[in-house]
Amino acid sequence: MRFLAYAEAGETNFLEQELSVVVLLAVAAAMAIIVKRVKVPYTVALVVVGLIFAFFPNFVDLDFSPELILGLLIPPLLFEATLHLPWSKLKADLFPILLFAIGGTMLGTFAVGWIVWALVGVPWLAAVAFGALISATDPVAVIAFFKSLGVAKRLSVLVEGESLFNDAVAFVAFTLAVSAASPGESFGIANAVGDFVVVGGGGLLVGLVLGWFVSEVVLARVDDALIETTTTLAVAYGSFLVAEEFGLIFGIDGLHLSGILAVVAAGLVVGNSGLRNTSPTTRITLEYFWEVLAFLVNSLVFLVIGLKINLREIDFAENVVNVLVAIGAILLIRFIIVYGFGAIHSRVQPSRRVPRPFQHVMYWGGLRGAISLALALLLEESDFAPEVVDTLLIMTFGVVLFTLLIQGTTISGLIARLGLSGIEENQRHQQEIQARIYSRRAGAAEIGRLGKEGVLFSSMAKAMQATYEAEVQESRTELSEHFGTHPELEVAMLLQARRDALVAEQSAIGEMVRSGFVSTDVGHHLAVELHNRLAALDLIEERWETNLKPPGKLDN
Amino acid sequence: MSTDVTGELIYVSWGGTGRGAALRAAYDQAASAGQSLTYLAILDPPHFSDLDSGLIELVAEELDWLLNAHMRTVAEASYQQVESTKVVVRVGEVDDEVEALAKAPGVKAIVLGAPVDIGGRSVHDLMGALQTRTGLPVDIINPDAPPLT
Repeated sequence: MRFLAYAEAGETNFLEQELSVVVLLAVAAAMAIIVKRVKVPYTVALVVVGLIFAFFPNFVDLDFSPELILGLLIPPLLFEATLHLPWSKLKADLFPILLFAIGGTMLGTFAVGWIVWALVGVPWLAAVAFGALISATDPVAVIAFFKSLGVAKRLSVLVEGESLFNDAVAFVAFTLAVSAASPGESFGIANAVGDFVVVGGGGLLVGLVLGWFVSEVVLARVDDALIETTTTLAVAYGSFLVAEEFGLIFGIDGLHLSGILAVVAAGLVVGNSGLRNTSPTTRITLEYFWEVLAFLVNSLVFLVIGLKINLREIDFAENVVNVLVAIGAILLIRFIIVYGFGAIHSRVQPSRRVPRPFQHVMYWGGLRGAISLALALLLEESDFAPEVVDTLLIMTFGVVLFTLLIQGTTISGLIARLGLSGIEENQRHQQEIQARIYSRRAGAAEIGRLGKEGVLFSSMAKAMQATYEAEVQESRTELSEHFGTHPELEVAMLLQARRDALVAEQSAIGEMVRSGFVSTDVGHHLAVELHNRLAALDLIEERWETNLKPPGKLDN
Repeated sequence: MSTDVTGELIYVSWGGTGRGAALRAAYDQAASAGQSLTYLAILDPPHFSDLDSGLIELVAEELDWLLNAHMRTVAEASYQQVESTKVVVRVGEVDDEVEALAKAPGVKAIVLGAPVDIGGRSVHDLMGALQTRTGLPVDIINPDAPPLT
């Protein structure tokens, strides 16, 4: 029976697509509830459900073209990820991040390409295109674990930073390889490097300019949560579009810049500079908006990936060796990239060496996902022979499935085994007590409001508030005793509170500038001072608080 | 400093405020002895020498703010009270900075808050050197306190 009965067979209409999206969102919400109980990464669960959909082709009828995935779903995902990436921490590890992202991706592109060319027997350029698309790591599933396990922020920044930049590098390398396969084109290293610099650098520049414009001209001058939030949405898509269609917009024939790098740059500028120019209300609205959008888009991407894989049509017997070759190649090359480039980095920058346990997580956490699949789907429009495209598509799907289902489900065990899970029982207990205080105070406030508005009898409201107050007092005493037993937690709390307070001070200064209480100059001066304070706090956290071993010996 | 205190205890740390237990122990020791307490925080070259002077000044200012807040938190939580407390943040070698501060009149003892080696030198060497240079008793406070990880 057709799920969408009113649609004619084979006809795709708007309502049908809309209903399919509604079904997917409902499934996504249901999966989000289920994974909370079964401890499987959310994205892994979504892909599995998407794969199951392949056996029920009439259940949802959604035609997401590769261009639509890239142009509609990828920009908000990247923008949201960069929005929360602190520049101070990214800057501190920019060298290893770029080394892994640029050097690693280039090595991965050619080395994986070579293995696939030699063992699978696809043409060289098709193998290079595969090497490029499969080099893009996707940290969504891993980062979700990092957050729940309380892993060090530095590891999170390394993984996210590498992923954001290697997505862009992989995309550019992939485009160059596919273009070179077109009739009359060729692939020369010198040309490729030149194009890479223009496409990548140009994309970065577009993102920086648009991000700066939105941060300094809109977010700094307008105080309206809706307008400011809408503007960030516009810059996320706008930077991608302007970069990709740069030639068309500015009349330079055939010039395309890297849309992905443009989004990354715009997100970094808005997240690190623009958000500081917003009021607390706007900031909260904006963060909620992007959190919801990222959840929606992520859900759609991974469900659509599952749908696109269409298990029913894959000839496993014929492709199993090719998929195994691809999996072996990415595991081997990822090993060389993480540990080899890690060793080079340790020699060049010993004070910032990436600790060995972090390297293990970076190696096993190098999952492949949305970008790889979206790029693989783009192969359908390339000049490669259809059977080559099919082989590469199946290999990509195989690798993505392997990384998500095997690596994605075992990474949390590895993190725990390496002792990188930051939230210990003491800290968990502290958070529980704090949450209880917070929620009970909210309950008391609500009772107070109801009492004031006359919904509750005044005497009843007072009695209930007093009961709440007694509970809050009890929790406070418990918290104080807990800190007495575990004083190290007190300092972590002090640092976090100081950070929150400095960010609140920044927002307050922005509000005073907007309302005209202080001049822009004075506001700017104070904002810079607070920015410096935050940078100093980062350094204290990084060097003073972990100063039990000299730098460079942290990993041994 | 109040007139009824019987001297000064210097609590020295060159990292790891997270060993809050050590500061609490130093606070209680000073309170029991009726001494004032000085928290000497040292930004030492092995960890901070690569920062330019402007940045290290900022780090020192921010650390001063944090340690004052930490000291107040410890004072709030303690059943005893220290008459006078202060935080001093210095940039330099641990030995030199401790010696410079210990020259002040009234300093009775020095306690080290971080029982960890420093720049390839054992903490026991450092204790010996500080004892020789200042002529004061030097001890590691609460050595069993959990280190910050």
